[in-house]
Amino acid sequence: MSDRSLRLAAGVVTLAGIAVAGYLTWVHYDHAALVCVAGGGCETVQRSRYAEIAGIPVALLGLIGYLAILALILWDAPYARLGAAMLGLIGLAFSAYLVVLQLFVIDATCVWCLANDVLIAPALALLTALRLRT
Amino acid sequence: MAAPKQRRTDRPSRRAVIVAFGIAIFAAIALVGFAVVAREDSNSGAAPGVDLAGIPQSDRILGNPAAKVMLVEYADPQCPACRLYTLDFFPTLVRDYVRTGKVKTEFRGFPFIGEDSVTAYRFLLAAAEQGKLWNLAQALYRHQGAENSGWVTDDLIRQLAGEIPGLDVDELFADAGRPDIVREADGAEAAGTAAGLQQTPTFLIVVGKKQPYQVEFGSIDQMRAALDDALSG
Repeated sequence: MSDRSLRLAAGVVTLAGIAVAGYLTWVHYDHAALVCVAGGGCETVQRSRYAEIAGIPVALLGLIGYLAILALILWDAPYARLGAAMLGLIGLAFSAYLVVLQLFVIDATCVWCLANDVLIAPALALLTALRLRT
Repeated sequence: MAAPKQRRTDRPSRRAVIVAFGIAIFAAIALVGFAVVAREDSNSGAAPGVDLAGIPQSDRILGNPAAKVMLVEYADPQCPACRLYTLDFFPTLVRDYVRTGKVKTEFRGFPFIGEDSVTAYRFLLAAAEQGKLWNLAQALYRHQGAENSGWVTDDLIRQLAGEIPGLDVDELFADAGRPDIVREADGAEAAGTAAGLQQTPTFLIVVGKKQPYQVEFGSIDQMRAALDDALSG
């Protein structure tokens, strides 16, 4: 896989992450979604005590993280690649924590939240590959 | 002859990579740790409640019994959205509509989230026997714990109920164990589902003897609009 293809793939996965995290941030601030749905769901997760850290929505943190990764991919200097891979690593660890919360603590899963958490894995793989090519 | 491949001079050194990796691991641990600590801190404080003193309460209804308009709330004591409604919307409802005698509001339980929901609802029904359901509901929402974590304990109920003037705590516990109340709380989820409920909070507006209709609030202004419309109708 060429360097250019690798960057392109990393960019696409990161853009997908931005789209999902952006949607979840919007839902968080939209009071029309102020409901808990029978059987669990995004609203339960989004309205749970775990949806914010010190008043900052977790979805917004994810959005900021993905935007930072995208900026570093576009910059594409060797240190930027290193920074992007490290951000991906931090994101993966935090996503793992969020998945555990959904499955075992909140006892409600949210497809969009899980998609957001899972997207960081291929992003990290691609960012690591990019970094190793430096 | 081809020129030898030039080594990129700005490539991070091995030491820089190790340092960056260490920082990333530290940041990840710090972020998760901070998230856990911040959540525990958020559980320790309770938001201020709405003063219900002087407002008539009978059974599950708060407000002037003669009010033409009634707002029915189907809720689950564990539902974070119901908690947000109680914190963000309920104060306005009470101040501008209930305390003024224009609107009364009724609590109906749809305890679908888990065992803590049913336990809490049993105590709410018991509090209704003493005309204190809304006081206890507010207290529970202000101290709401993580879903299905076993947070609705006898100790918590005893503590919250003890802070409600006029509520006999021993009678509350006795009533919460009454077969009719236990039966109603246990069957409330099935009853709500059979009635078509799918989410909490679900709101109905009842105007006199007219057919109740469902309303949704995206903002306090929308709630005002829905109530003003009902009052003028």
